[in-house]
Amino acid sequence: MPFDPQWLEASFPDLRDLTLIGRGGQKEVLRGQSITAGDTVVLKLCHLGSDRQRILREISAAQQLASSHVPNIVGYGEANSPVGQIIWLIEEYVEGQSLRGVLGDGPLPPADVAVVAMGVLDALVSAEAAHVVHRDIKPENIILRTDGEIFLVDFGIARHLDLASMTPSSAAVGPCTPGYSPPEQFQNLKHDIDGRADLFALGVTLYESATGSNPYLAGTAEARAVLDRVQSTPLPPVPPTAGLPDRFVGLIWAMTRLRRNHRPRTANECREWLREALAETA
Amino acid sequence: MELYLQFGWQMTPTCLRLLGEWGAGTVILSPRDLDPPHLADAAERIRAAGGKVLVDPQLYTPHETNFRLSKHSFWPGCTGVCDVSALEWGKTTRELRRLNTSLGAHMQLLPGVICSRPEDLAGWRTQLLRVAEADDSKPADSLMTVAVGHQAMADTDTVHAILDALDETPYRNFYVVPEYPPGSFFVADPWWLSNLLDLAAGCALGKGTVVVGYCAQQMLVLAASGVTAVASGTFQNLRQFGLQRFRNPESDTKQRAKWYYSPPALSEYKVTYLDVAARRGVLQTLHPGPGFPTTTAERLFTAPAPMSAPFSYPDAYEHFLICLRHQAMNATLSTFSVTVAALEQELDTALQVADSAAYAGVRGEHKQFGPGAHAASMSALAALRADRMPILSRAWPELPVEKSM
Repeated sequence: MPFDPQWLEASFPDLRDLTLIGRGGQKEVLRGQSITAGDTVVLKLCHLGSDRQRILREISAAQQLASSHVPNIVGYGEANSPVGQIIWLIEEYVEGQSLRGVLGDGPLPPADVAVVAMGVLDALVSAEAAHVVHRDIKPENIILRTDGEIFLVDFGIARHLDLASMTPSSAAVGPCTPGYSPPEQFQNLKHDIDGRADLFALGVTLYESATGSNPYLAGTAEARAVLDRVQSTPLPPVPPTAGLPDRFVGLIWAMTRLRRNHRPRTANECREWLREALAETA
Repeated sequence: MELYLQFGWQMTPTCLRLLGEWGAGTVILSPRDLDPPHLADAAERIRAAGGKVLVDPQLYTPHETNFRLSKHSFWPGCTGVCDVSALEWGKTTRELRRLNTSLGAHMQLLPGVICSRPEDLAGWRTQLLRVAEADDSKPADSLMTVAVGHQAMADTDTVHAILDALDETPYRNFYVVPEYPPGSFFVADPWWLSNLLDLAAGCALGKGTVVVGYCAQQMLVLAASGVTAVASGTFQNLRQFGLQRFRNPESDTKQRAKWYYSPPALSEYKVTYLDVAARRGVLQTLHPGPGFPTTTAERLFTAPAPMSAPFSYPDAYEHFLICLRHQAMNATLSTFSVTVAALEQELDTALQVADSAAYAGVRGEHKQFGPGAHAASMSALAALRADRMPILSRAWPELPVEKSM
């Protein structure tokens, strides 16, 4: 849905030099400068689904997250665009590379896996306090800023925008990212989706960061096959060749259990666990 | 892991003798087996003997009339079949609180209806939350009863839904009462056993007190779940929970039989088969072995023939409970992994000993530990390891259960 530059200029007069940096499915992402603040910001534009109130509620909650690992949401709202009713969101721009891009060069060293884990867990601890579930943690949504800080992006809107619906006509399969989302999410067990869904997805992401591959995605691009794998096969422990401390391996193993009751209860518990693992190594 | 005594019909003397020998212990009193005056008397005598008292309200099926339980003031006032959803839990919990206080119970067991089948889950959850809402005691002072029917226990989704529901309550102490698959002394259904271990572990990870009621020797594997205690008693119906006991005015005494419990075989044998064992030269393989407390069963091994040794029904019950307690107390070790490995070793040994004895003609009938129970137990331990090992390993030092070094 390409947006008309004139409409953009008229609708967001405080932004200049808007440049398209991403497009997919329901949304467009542009980078620009805030004239009043002088900062580089990101403008996200996306179609409204049927969950308008819920999207706004969740963005509002995400705006309250007290985490230095989540980009600040500067503002958000609704607009009537040439392509229909949309929602817009302006947030802090994070200069860096996505974890997906970094993993293109191979697995991360153990210390860097720990940095990613700690950064995202810090963000999830804040999310728990605000009763927000990200629902789409994956390497694409984790940014390694140029100074090494970790950011988890798209809080509050991920579930509404980026998640692929396997069979839109059927409620039996919920919006998910195959290979990262836990069974309760793609089985569309809405009442069972809580913070432990994010822990599963982060666990898979950390496994991939440590080993360089996601076993659920290896050798197939067929979504249904991936979901079948996730549903039937828990991830094995991270192999010793990855060099992670045993306790860290245990944490990733626990986070990736197929049933949420088998995972740690909270992100805070995971963060404590990770600290213990790192302290033991030190 | 501790062994609590599951009280049953005419069990006061046994409890008092065992508490005298142990110097301490906990007895779960059964209102079904004691009318109000006798309940008070038993509690007083147990406490005087140094024991702690818990009271199981046994409200598993409160909508059914029980000829003994209905004599107690906490029992709902309906007669015949009544509507569970209409029960006034506020009145019941108040009465139970009064009873627990008067009996000097050290914690209160809250009532819990049984979740018999997967389709009962929604109704069960409603009652659980109603009890929690009605209870005005401190959650830390109470154990919530989690009674699960054999069909529900065999269904993994149901067991996880039960764990989810328990998370909705403020309680972290639980009294788990699993209904056994019908007709089996040993459980050979790997799903039932695996789900029980998982349920118990899920409860134990809340780091409160978790007691599993009505256990026989196979349930020693619950040590891997990190539970605080298992409870067992004299008669078979105190080692295996079944609703029948709470429905019919059965005679408990007719179920009596004199069995010798062999700890290394995890099996029980009628004494006449010990004569066979002596004649075949395998009697010593059934001896408890070094380290176990000496019981009156020692006579069976020193007499010219076991059948000629004096060995009464109470002797048999007490020998069983003394040995089971010793095994329970040595079942929980310093780490989760070491505990599981030791249990697996114990199961392997038991199958070997029981098989060797059977080959020699020494049969334990339905109380002989066999390949089905061995396979289900090993399978359940493997599942627990696969699902919960990292979390249980990490939590192990903080679980409120005595570990044996």
